[in-house]
Amino acid sequence: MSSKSSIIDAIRNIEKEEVHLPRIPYFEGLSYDSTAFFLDMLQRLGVEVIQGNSIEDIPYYLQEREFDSKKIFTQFSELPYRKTLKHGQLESIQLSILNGKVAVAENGAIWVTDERLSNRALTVIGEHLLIAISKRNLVWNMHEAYANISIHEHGYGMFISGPSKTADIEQSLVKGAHGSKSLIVFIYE
Amino acid sequence: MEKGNSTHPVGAEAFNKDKKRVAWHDKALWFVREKRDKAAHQIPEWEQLRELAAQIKAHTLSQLDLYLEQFEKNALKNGIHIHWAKDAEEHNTIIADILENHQAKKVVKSKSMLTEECGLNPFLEQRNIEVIDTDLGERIVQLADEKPSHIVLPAIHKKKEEVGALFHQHLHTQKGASDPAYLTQEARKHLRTKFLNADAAITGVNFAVANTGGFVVCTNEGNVDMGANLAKVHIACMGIEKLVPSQEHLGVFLRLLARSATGQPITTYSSHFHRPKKGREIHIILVDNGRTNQLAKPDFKSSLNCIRCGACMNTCPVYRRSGGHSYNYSIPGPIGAILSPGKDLKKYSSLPFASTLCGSCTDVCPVKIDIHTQLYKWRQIIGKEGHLPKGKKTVMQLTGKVMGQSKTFSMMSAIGKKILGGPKVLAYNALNPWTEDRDLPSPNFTFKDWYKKNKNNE
Repeated sequence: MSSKSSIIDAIRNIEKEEVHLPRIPYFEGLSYDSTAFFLDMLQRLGVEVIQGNSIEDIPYYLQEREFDSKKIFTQFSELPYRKTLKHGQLESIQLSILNGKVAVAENGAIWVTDERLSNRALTVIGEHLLIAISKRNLVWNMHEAYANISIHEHGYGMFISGPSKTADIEQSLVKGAHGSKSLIVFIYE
Repeated sequence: MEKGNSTHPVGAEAFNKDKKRVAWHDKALWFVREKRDKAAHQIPEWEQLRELAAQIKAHTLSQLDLYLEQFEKNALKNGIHIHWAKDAEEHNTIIADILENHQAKKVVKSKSMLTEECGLNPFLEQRNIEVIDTDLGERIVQLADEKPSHIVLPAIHKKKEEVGALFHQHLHTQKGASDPAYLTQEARKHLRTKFLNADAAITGVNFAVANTGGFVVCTNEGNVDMGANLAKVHIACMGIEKLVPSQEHLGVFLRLLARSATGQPITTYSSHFHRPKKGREIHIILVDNGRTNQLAKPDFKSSLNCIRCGACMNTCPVYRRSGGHSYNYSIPGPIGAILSPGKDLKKYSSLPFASTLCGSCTDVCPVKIDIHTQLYKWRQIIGKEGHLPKGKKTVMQLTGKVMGQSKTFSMMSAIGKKILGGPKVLAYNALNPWTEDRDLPSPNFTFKDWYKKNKNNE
């Protein structure tokens, strides 16, 4: 007998009570002003926030920073940065600019997908990370977030809520464990 | 796969030789427990979420065969390879075979308690495969040739000076350097080269979704996404209890998990994998290894609700003062003490006694496992099966006899009173382990005397 059938049979032979799957009720937000709550949460997560009008404004905000534009990757076709990269070039990326689809006020997490992502590691391998998110795509909590996305639409998707971090050495919080050392959230109209 | 001391009292005694370290360890974990409280109290529906999570798990477990088949069907449609392993050995062999098919010699691994449970690292190392643990805490214990002492904070028992010395020896960091920021940066550089050159990546699974055929892995460091996305082959190992029916249920668990674990509102990365990138492979190994046995035990099946947050460890007064290694099982603390006897009752018979039955573990558990009740129930089984340590068995039998007869009880309590009032050596000697670390008061009268005098003053 295959391991699959032995496992399935073992489970099937156990006498089990029927348990209903509960319905998940609607949960209200923690404040009346979700934008203010989101901004406050990002600050607590050590995230820098830039507020602008549109995606096209991003280069303007980046010009004073020391990024080499050849070492910037982006998912946005309208931005003048790299759209594709070879495996060997990944490590030199200074900044990844990702397209945030849904942002969650309660925990600061933003959903990104592998759409126009030439290598999936670009979510973490860049020295720094910028996620652009429209104000219109802000929801309260994870229940609302999952109601607004379809997780199997993309082969790979993730919620990101700050720079990579660890506290594995004596509980001291250190940013930049394996992934990006900093996160900028660009909020546009 | 486990090494070191055989029973919890032996391990706890070894840990307690250094009183300062015990106090430090206790405080570090209590700090995490307090962060959990703050995070939980911010959510008005916290208790409702715990109840929902428990119900979703109970429902899924009640139809686990159907959900597993549904998951397999959808994952296959997504182009994911599915493997079934009835035990640890089969799990390890499947992985070795996949690696061999790809001639993979260098493997990066993210945190997975299941691979610890199965003893995967030594199994692969014997086959000349390099396995690098990439979670910083796990890398620290790997370099120290130890096991994780906590499921979320694997190196919580290590001081930064010890980490500095380890890194100096293995990663050539500056001698005497112990600054966590510096050590973390050095580990980042060291592990980046491992990620970029890895042939395969092994990760755990936090949740698998039956109706989409994909899975979710949560980290703060980003090591899952570095490993799985850079290597050609991604092998994800999961216990069969990790399933949830659909994506809406993830919302409940992701709100509970990080808040319970570290007091964060969510982990930095919650990565959802559904299909491999073109030219790459994703394999999932569905592992039983004793889980169906546990599912067949009505008193203990809810232990399979566990989402591995570690909250029960952080709150446990015994865990905090005895350290994770004293449990000598891949999952320590209260949850480990109810999971392990299902695996090997005799070997882990001391673990359900590593508790005061205070119930704090049950109070903080995000999926409402009645941990302290299960600890108590395991004790009954261990007693019946004759696995109690000799001393405990004799004392229990004697106590049972004494308490069962009023005359003997009166006599013994009168003698007890005399002993405690008499010379110290009578109570404080090698024959009485209860007084090793305790001071007993010397009573002026027995309970019976007190009761006779006071029964009319109710």
